[in-house]
Amino acid sequence: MTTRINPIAPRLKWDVLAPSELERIHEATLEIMEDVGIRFPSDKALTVLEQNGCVVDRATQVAKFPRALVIEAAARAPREYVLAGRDPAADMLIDGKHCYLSNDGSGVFVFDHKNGEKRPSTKNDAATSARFVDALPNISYYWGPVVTSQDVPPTTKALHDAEAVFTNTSKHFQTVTTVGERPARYIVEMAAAIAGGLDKLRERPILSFMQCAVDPLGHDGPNLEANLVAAEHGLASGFMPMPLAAGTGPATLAGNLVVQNAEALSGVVLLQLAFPGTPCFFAGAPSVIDLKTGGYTGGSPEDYLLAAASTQLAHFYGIPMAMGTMATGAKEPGWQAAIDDSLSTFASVMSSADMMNGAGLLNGSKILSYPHMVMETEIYSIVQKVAGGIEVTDETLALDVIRKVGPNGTYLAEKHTRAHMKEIWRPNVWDRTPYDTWLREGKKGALHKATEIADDILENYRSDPLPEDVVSELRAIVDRADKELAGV
Amino acid sequence: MPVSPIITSPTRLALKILGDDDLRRVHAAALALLGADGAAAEKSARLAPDTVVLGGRVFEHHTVLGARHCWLGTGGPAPRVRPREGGDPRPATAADLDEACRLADALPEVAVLCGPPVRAAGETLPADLARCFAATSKHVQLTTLQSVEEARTVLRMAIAVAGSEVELRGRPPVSLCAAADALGAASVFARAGLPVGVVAAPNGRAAGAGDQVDLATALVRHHAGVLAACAAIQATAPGAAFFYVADPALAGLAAGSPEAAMFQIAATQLAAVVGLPVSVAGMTTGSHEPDWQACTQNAFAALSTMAAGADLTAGAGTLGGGSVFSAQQLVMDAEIYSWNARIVAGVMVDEETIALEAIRQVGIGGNFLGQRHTRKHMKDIWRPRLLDRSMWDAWVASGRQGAYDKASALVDEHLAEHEVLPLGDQVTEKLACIVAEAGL
Repeated sequence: MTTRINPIAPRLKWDVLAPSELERIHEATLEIMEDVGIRFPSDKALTVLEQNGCVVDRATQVAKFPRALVIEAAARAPREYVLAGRDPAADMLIDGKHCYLSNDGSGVFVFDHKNGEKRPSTKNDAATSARFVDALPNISYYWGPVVTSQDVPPTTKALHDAEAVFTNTSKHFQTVTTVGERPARYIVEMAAAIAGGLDKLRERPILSFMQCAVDPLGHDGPNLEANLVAAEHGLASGFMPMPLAAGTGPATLAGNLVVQNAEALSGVVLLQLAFPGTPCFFAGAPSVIDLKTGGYTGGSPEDYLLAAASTQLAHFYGIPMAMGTMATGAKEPGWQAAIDDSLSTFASVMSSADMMNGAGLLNGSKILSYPHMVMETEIYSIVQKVAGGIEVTDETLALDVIRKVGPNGTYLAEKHTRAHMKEIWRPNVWDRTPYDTWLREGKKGALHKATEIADDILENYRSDPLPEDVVSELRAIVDRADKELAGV
Repeated sequence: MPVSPIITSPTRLALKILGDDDLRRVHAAALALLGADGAAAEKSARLAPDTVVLGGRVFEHHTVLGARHCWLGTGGPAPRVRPREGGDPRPATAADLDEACRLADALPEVAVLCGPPVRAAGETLPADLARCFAATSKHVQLTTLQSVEEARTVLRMAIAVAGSEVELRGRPPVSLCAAADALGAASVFARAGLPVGVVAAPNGRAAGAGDQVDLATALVRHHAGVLAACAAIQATAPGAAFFYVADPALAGLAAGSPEAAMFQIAATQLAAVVGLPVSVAGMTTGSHEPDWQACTQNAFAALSTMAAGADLTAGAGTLGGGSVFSAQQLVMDAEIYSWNARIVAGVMVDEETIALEAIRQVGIGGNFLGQRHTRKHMKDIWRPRLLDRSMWDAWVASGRQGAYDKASALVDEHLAEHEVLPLGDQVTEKLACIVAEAGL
């Protein structure tokens, strides 16, 4: 089957934690889950946990987990599953061997690269962003939305977002703004309308869910209930802890990993107890506190160590990882964005994160910039090349050719060179012209080229449309939700 | 006067691009390429010291290759300089060389001044080196020295700086990193106790730049070239300090390309096979400005090589594939190094860092800020010098300052305030005499 997405299958592996260190963090996690517990502010979730052997305190909404239960429940999670696209050529096999990039999500502004100003995002922006992501093969699935619809009723924003996304991309959609049971049921209904019914949706899950946890050691009620709806329908879901070292997590990275692991693992255990075998994943966007402001750093070396270590932990349990990647704190697509994005992508890929969220936003996931998204796909492409490793065979060693050319010759005319030169990586936006050419052509750098590519996509690319009747059905579902959820 | 110690970091990560079998295969192919000399070349590399000291004028400025630490070196010598105030690059002057060396001396991340960073127009290499010695107490690694005559002159200068021939061996202030053309000069250095790293093609000629070949092919040729050079050096100076040079340009790979990064990771692994410390070119961006492209190229190269365990990552401060020096670029590359040094230091896992008691005390929904454990460890958290973490409106109000603006301010601050440990009048005069006598 042809494919229109371009995952990375890394041959390089980067272990930040030794096996004994993984074991130690795992043991500490179990100790915290058993002794301190995790807060689940949802009666439904607490009931599931209590019925399966957790010690539950309804007053504090805290569940304590027997260690055997954690291990047994985590083992039920499937090691492999498909996140389907509406277009089968965009299907993602989550198998621990491939890394898939998404866009970043939940931004609230759009950067207008024509006038250098930002403005609040609208439903139309969510739609445009979905069409844009649909055009980029290096972005495998749509996460978010990239920017939220702020010109619609707040209670049904996630559903308007979904309508904009479903009608503009045929790639897989992972929602991160659908919270609460009722909105979750509406979005599942929308996905089922596209898939041809709930059974078909279960067979080809074009939708998945991700929710944030509440650090330290807690979850949010509506988030829990939304993911339980996903699990009920066989849709993959996961929880994303974001402990800030020295704030909502210990200042030391190992301790931060314990907190994060306990949160992510407790979510997985809940889902597996409620619906054994349901597809699920760990998620994470760990960071450290900015010692100057007390806030989020939007990129630091510790983030990447935590990302790589968290991914190792997820894989220790045999569970896929969706890792916060790129998502620079920079305000514009310049030097700071380059270092954030380059190093974070490197760390995520070298640790084999299954899903990576993602490209396109500046200023700590707040501002959408299309040229920036194009530049980030170039970074992805570089990492893909490096992660592919070096093939060592008789053909690639080419001893005969080396002997033939000798020390003073050139390889340019060799048949061996012609056979392999196309394997050499080529840039889309990097400039490699000599200085004088670059000067003569107006000093056009990466941003200039990325802007040209972005403008071309925005102007000319059209995604595969949904059938008219499905579009009408989605509209009707969102209309109904607007009425039924108004004021809820 | 007190000097700031160099910032370095232990390397706890071990990024590998070649599996054990592939590594053995490339090594064996390189030995096969050397033919009858292969076994002897391998033996000589294994007998060479596994650590190499690149001496500074003071203990705090010593660099030790082969000790599982990563160090940063500048690029150079660049014939042109990008003016600090902006604008197009122009030919470098002696004043530019002074400024570049003084800035490198001031930056605690920079361990070695490779090149020297700038080649002043109309000056000889010994004259440039004398200025460089005066403007830094850190180690200087020459990369363009070729003739035996020049090498002898430089050796006399190095003895003058070190104090004596014996002290020179203990803390060699200068070393040589070069291609096959400099094998004679390298022998002069090696016999005197100055560290060298040389790449020769299997029969002693340089590998051809500009060739586009398979990475495996490039590695075989390059590895054979290093082993051949090492054998030649060890034959003339047994036990000489020799380091493995992994410069993608010498293997015909495009500067700053993904292939260049991959080559350097693999070469670092190959160096470990024969137990040699390794110096990589690292930061060799082809970009003409200190921008997004320069950062992506150098960030990848630095992280991959440092994570692979390379001892010295050089190239900092240059643009256009090493042809232009930029003070701002040097500061920005130092930040990239600092960032990566924290990454390759890895995650410590022990009772203290797991912090179970602190987690229990804070409990659910609490905050770690007030914890004694946090106060004890928060200074371990890496802090940037160039990143902007302000709110959008504050950033706009500040004139949208980015990393380049902050780097410019740091350059100005360092050059206004930094004092270099003086060489002393006697040494300065001696160096002037040697340069004048050489008349090269």
